[in-house]
Amino acid sequence: MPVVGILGGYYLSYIKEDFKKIGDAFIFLGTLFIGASIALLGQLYNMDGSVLSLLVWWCILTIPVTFLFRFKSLAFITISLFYLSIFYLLDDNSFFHWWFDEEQLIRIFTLIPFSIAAVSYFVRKTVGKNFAPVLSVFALVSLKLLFLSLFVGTLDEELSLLGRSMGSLIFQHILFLGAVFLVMWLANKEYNLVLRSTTFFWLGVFLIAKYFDWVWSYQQMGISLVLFGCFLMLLVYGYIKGTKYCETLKKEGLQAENNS
Amino acid sequence: MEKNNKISPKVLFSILGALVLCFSGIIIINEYTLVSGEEVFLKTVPVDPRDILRGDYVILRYEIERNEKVKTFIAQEKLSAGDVFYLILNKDEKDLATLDRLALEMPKEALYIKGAVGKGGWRGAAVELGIGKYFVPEKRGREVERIRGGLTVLVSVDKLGKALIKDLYYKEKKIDFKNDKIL
Repeated sequence: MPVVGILGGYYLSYIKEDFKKIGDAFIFLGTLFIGASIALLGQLYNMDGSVLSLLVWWCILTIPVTFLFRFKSLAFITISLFYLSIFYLLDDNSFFHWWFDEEQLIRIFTLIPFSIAAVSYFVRKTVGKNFAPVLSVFALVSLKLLFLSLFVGTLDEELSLLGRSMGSLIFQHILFLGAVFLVMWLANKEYNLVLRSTTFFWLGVFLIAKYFDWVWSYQQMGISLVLFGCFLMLLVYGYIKGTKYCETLKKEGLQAENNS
Repeated sequence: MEKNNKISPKVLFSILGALVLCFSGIIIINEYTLVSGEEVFLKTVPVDPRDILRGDYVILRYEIERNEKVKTFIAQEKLSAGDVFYLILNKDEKDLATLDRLALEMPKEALYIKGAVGKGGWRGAAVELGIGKYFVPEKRGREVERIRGGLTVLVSVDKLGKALIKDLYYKEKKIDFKNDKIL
């Protein structure tokens, strides 16, 4: 099935060229069928394999197809399978199904996404220009995971990278904000809107989380603090709305002047 | 979807060839075990009903892996999770296999199954034989779950010690999932 799907897709998309979208969909389905075929063979022979082995084999067999066709959707599947494999690898090595060594999980999910994002970025800039769509997806997904891990590390001393101390928690905050602002700077430099919105999203999440964290810590100070925070948020919202309203008025005024 | 227009047919056919090789490899290896392997029956032991069925497969545990000799061997040889050893079997006139002895090296002339030390605990088997799962038709696993004792498994064991499940038997009668009721 995967071979038929990919071959059929290639024929429709690259030889016939009249059915490009259907051909692309066939190639995408063919890649999904790789995983389905592995699972089916496992069932057929009652093989005692784990989810981890299914994910690893699926990922390995998908990589060449992804780099050949260079679809963003295929790149997303490959990188997702890769990270899921790592997740299941950590799960497989833990004693309880629902319990992870969180510190190890955070460290691994900081180090690996950072490495993949950095390597993808530099390879795309230097020798891998042909593979830009694939590498940019690898870098983007890795960066999102990196931000998530760094952000989770800022929530608790035990989850920070350098261990259980106040200093390491401060370092974690610096690291998270440093990474977000560095990527924001790069995104602005390259006019990369997706990357820029990702950094704004994580900055927003960080500010909201820290505000509520702060409110929780100083709860005894009373409801006034919460109300003050809500007032501040409303003020910011009002400012944004007000600016937009002024801009609309300005545009309407200019249009009226032009018409007259 | 975005793509670069140039796709080398040579590279494409190499990748597809590798895919075909990979899948046919899995089929050939398993068919070799099923066709050339020696058939034996293995007695199962009851498993905690909460664990026996996950999805549409039955979890099977065997008498040979629960044998005291196995526990002693693992302790004596100081084996840890993932370490490989061989379970050498005896076969009676009814093809029912029992554990004879254990070895760290692959035996030259005997019927044996390759095993590995498992994680143990409630989550995994103490010994992994590669025959711990049997896939059943949808929603039929509960019927197998109700069988407490008397369940034997027909396995095919090849010369390298790889075992594969062929069929399930209850009181020497093959379980046929095509029937409405298996018992």
